[in-house]
Amino acid sequence: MSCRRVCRELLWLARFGELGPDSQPHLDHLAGCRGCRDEVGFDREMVRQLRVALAARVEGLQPSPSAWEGILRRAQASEPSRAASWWQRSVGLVGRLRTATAIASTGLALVLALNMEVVTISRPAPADTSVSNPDLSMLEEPQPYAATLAEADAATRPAVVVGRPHPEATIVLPPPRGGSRDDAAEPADAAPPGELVVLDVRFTTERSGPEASSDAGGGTDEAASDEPAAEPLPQPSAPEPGQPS
Amino acid sequence: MTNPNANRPLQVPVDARQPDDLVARMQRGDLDAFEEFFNTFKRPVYATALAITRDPFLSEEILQDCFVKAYRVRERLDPARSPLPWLQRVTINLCYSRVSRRKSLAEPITSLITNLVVDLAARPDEVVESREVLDVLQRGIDALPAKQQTAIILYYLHSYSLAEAAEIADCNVGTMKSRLHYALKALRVRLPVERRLPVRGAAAALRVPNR
Repeated sequence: MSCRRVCRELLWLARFGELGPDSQPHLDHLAGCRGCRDEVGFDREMVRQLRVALAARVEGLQPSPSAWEGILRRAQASEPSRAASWWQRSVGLVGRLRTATAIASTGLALVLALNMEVVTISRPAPADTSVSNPDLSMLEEPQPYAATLAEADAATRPAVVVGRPHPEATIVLPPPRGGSRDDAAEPADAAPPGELVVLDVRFTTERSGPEASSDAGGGTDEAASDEPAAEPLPQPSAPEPGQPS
Repeated sequence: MTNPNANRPLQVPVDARQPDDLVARMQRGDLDAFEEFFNTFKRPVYATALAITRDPFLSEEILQDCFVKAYRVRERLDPARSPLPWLQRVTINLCYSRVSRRKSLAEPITSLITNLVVDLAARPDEVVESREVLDVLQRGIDALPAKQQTAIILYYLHSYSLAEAAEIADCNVGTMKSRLHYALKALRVRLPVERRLPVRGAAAALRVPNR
């Protein structure tokens, strides 16, 4: 056992009065080691001085005789009745509940706000062949969205640009008003008028020009209500040559 | 195992025992019991506050706050146990909340007391050395972290046992030992090197008790 370790253990034992018969090897070492004797002796002297210093902090000082009067006055003045105490506790509880309610409401609002951005990941629905497939020819020649907008003039600017819908996105079509829809676009088992039709949309980009629908050209609310909620399109970079679309 | 509190010359007399039925009578609203409660425990509470803050006026405020609080929560005090650990804990918390607000300690009073406690019968050079060491130790105690300072005050000033000090400080005995060890280590570093003289008879002073 090293001298340093023995000294450290000796200091520990001596400080807390834990020297016992088991400590005899330490004491034997102490008897023959002047350095350890100095260390332990200095520690004992320092503790003695420490007691003097601590006692000096409180020596001769007493609380003033008026201390009790002050305590009694404050204790009696602040002694609330049982009813007042109950009322105070209730008010405190209500206050805490109000705070808790506010925190919960804020949290709920935050969750709802964030929920608008949350996408539910689930297995996409199987392809429904009965639904009219969109024209995929445009996918053969990918055109950057930004470039498309830059090239388009006011006359040819698409009335509605539909982004890539979510795999589970659905379009709820209102019942036809007045005339009938294009029969070619309707599935064979189309629902009778007055019922909602849910379409599975699986195309990525669709542009409809002013020639597609004159009503939709102005971007009216009616037209917007017919279109699915479009996600904001990312700004695509120009495709690399040879990059698959 | 020796009792480290056996030969301590500078103890603050602490009556940790609770007079019979004192808390129970206080809980019934007996103001005489409350006064007896105050007289029983005021000194250790005040000594703790004074040792931490070194300000008699602030210590008296803390004393009053502590006992007013004790009276308000008397219903929750356990009549079967001494209220002293609870009182000391409240006092320590009040002290550190006040001291951290003030950040200034009463240095002149400390210097005055330090000068008073030095043994004037000793040689002038010894008096100077003692004052120097006491000054260093006082500054060292003030500079200790709150937990170590509390440990030093409870163990070396009040002479509580390790278990009692640990109960007041709300820690276990090992933690209390560790705090004391590091506090002494920090104080030791502060002392001037020339004061670390070899002390004769260190080995002889350590006596092993017989089983």
